[in-house]
Amino acid sequence: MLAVFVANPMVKLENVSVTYPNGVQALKDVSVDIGAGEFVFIVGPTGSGKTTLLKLLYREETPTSGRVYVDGVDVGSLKRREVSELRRRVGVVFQDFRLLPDRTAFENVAFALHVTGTPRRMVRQRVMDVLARTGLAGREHSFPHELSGGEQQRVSIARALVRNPMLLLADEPTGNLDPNTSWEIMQLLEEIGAGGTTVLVATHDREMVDRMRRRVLSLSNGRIVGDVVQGRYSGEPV
Amino acid sequence: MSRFDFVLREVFRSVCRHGLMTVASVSTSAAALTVLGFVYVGALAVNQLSARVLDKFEAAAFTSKSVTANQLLRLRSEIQSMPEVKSVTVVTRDEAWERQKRNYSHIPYLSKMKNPLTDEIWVRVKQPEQIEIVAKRLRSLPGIESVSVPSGVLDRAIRVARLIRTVGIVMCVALMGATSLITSNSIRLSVFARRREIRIMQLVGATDGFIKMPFILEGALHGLLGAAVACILLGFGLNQTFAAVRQTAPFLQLPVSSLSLTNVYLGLVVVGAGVGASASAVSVGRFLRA
Repeated sequence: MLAVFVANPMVKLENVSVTYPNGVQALKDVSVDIGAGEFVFIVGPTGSGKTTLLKLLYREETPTSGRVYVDGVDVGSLKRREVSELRRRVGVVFQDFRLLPDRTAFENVAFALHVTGTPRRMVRQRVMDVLARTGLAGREHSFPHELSGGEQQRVSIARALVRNPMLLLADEPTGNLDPNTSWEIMQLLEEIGAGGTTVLVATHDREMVDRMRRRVLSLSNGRIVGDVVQGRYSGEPV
Repeated sequence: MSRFDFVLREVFRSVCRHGLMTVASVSTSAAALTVLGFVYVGALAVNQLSARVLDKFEAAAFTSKSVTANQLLRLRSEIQSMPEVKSVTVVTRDEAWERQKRNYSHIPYLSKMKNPLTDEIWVRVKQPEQIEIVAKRLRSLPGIESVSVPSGVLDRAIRVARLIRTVGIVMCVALMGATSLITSNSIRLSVFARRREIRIMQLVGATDGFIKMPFILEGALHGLLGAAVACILLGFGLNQTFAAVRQTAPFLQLPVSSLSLTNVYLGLVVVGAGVGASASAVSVGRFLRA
């Protein structure tokens, strides 16, 4: 079973290929639909195109050919101004957290609201809410270097969540974390997915994927080689 | 309002954090603006001096002897009403003769002679270039017999004045270019130092305009502080210069009034802030599109 059909996809790729200027073909003729509220793992070895696929969805990359839709919008043809609109509705989490080292957890999360013009009086409440939701209550005044890796990743997830995104993208979110912490972070992402947000997680973590029994999209050399509704890392159904 | 509030905080944060870089940027733009100020004031002074020289040139119209006092008055008001004319001085033939006799008092027979002179009308024009046009029109007036214009000397003087003005403008433009290069360079450093923040801003959906704003304000602030320092240096330097000139060459009337100096200071502030703001807008814009 190589394709999953979805009625109203949150994410839709139609025959997407991406070729980098150095000639590397990161994605080759990829087509996939992901429905609203789905939780999907994207697996595959390094260089298989996982990160490129995510980058297409927050318009860090544009397809060389084919079309990419997020919530029905053709993101490849967005103007610069519209890209910032898209990014306000798509949260992104990275392996290396990408926090600002000289700002507290609170300030790091609030930053995402401030720079998008949210009125100051609304910021505090929303940041405190999302910090509580990500298990960081009481840690708001800590700087990143005072937090554990897992806590730092929670801050970065809180920052991605604070605008209530329709889509959450996580690129190797547990790559720098020990197994227990990884499991906690994955639980948090699953909770977020249960709240209605579409969640895409690119990962190497075989054990985690096997344990979660979610939809698994397997990439190899820029092609989709497996798409299973309840799958294992290997691409086989549970 | 909260957006602006946040932007101001960011500017303050950046200025404090990159204190040394701010000092470097402010002092380099201060240096460039000081030189700009001196060159500008110098050009202004030379320009005013040359204008004053040009202003001394006048056309002289001589009437025919039959012109009566009434006709002379009419001629005077007619010339006065020409748009190019700045001022008209009338010397009647009696006055001219008296002056002549006084000047040549060592020639005794002058006093026994009948007055051979005619009435003279001396005309100054607003623009030295217009003197020929005015002379032509004077020649066509009834009662005017001849008109003399110092054309050769005037032409050369006008050419020199133009050259001086052009050189001044070129130097000022070049210095403004240098100031903007220096400011944009230090803003580029400041952008580089904050590249993480900028990338995160882009990631969470801040608009280009919003990301640029703090840098533009920072650039304007650098320019403004640089201009303030430049004004102090310029004021001090000019005072010294004026004092020295007054001591060594008191006959040389310095043409730069205090009013035009206030304009120079204001100009430096506006140029400094404007150049700083636009230079940083360009360098952040380039970074955002990279």
